[in-house]
Amino acid sequence: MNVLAAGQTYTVPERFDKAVKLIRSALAEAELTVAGEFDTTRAFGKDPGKKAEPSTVLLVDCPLLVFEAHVLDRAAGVFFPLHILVWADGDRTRVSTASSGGLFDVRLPSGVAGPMERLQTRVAMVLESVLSRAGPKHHQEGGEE
Amino acid sequence: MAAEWATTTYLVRQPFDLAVKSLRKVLAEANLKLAGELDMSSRIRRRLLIGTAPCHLFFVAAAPAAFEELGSDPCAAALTPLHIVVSARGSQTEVHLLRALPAHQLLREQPTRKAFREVQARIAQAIERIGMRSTLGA
Repeated sequence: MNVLAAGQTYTVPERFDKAVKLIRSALAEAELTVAGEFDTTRAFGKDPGKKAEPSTVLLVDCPLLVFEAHVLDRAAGVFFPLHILVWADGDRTRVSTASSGGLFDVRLPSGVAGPMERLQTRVAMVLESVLSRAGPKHHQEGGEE
Repeated sequence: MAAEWATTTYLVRQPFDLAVKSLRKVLAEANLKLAGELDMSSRIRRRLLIGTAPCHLFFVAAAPAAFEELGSDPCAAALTPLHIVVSARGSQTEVHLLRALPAHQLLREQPTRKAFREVQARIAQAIERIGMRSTLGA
């Protein structure tokens, strides 16, 4: 696995809808853009025999970092925007970041690693701020970085 | 150091606008659902006031039936949806997509790996109808 590994999983002590709003608001404050949203309710967080809980993938980037990555190689778009998976877990919400560039032991296009690492760092800071706003009952699970 | 490139590039001998239309068509004919599109060059121009060559991002999702099989592996979110980059290169167009298949140790569920492999293969087959694989590295 290369340096852009799958990120950490956070648990936000808020229901799904409120947690998504908190995350969107915190991303905007950090000048990060939600370029798209993809409903994954039927795809993730489903245990056998259990009703699917809501989940969504937020596609997050920062135009300056995207531009920086694209300057050297347009193939960078394969890895931007970054995906943030948000899924309901009862009364709580779980949030996980993952970059496809971190899943493989392969060579990334020129110029991708630096901007992607900075984007992941900024997103991690945003998610930390969401946790502090949401209240004291949160925790972080170990990531793979 | 990793040996393989993470992406595959195809060259389409059509100008950008025509190639975008052709790509939409072949993906639809392959029953691949476009979950969305992003005009990257317009976004950069709007936000940074910098002009760049036309570049679109297509988001392709697995069919709903395949979704049912994904299970609960958060790593799979990195590949949902898959990105296809369409970029102008003079009077021709390049198409970039993720080449590597999910590493076994990271996508822990067999159905998840299978679903993504299948979508990747179908995307590659669809693009090969309008373009040829570039020999220039990534």
